[in-house]
Amino acid sequence: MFDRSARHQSALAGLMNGLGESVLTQSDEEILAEARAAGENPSFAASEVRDILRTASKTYRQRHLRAAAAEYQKRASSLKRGWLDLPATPGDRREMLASVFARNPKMQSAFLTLQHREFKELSDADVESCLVQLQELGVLGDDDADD
Amino acid sequence: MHDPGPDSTAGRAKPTVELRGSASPTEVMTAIEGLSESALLRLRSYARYRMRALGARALAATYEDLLSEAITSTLAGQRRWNREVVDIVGHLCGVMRSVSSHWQEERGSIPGEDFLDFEHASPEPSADREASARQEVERIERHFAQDHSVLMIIEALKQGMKGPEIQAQLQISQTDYETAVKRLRRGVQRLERMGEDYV
Repeated sequence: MFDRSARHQSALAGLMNGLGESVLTQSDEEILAEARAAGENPSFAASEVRDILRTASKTYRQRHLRAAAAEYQKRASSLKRGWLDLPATPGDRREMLASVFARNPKMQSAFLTLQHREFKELSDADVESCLVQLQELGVLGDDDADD
Repeated sequence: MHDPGPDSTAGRAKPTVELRGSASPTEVMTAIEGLSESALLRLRSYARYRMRALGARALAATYEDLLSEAITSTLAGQRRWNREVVDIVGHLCGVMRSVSSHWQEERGSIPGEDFLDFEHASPEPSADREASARQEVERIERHFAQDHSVLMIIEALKQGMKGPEIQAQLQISQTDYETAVKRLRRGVQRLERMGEDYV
């Protein structure tokens, strides 16, 4: 149905789209002549268009790289936030890790096997490292922070 | 030049599907790199007219955005280039035709506007867009006030008529039609270069 409220926009669209279609039937010489008539250097103008196409292509090809970089930033930011949420003192962190291991005995077994030692032998640095790794694995949650 | 007749699902994501005859992204880029100066300028010219057709509905989008959308959707496989049917210029123009038509519908009919792709733009109220479009057409018509042939063609294009239909309606030869359209194109370009004085 014809939209009277958009009569002039429709007329403008018809006119400009019609001119656009006329471009498709122009000869190469006419195209170049029109650019020159407009005071342009056809070679320079054409290279600008090629750059637009190349940039769009490059942006498209690098989309996975950009997505990976964004994901990395997100994870790094998340880890940083998580570290700040860990208990402030070595004793509290050790208590937190013990609590996590108590709920996840298999996790304790796996971690301590990797460390080749008993829980009580873990240094404060080992405890911190374990908590960070557990955070990275998504094992730690709000419940642990409340412990 | 062939009419590419792209599918009419502009702006909608479609899965990448390899079909017989469809060019690969590498083939698309090879074709782009091989474009002549006139081919590149033809693409630019086509993109510019399609964006000018949007008038105020173009919002912050430019012809570069339309051209970029055409190449990106082709590389993504959302728009397949069948090399056996159309050359790369015809294909990209077909995609731009489809995409800009989609933008026109999307931004022209939804109350409150839909300009999510260009969020920094301020939409003009519908009445202002109408006034802006009317002024632009009237200025072009004033520019050709002494050129009766061009004025008749402008009137026919405004009504959405196509070249062959206009020639038949006005009873003019293809050569006369193309000569008048050439004057029209150059006049419109001249007015555009006048910038603020034109708008």
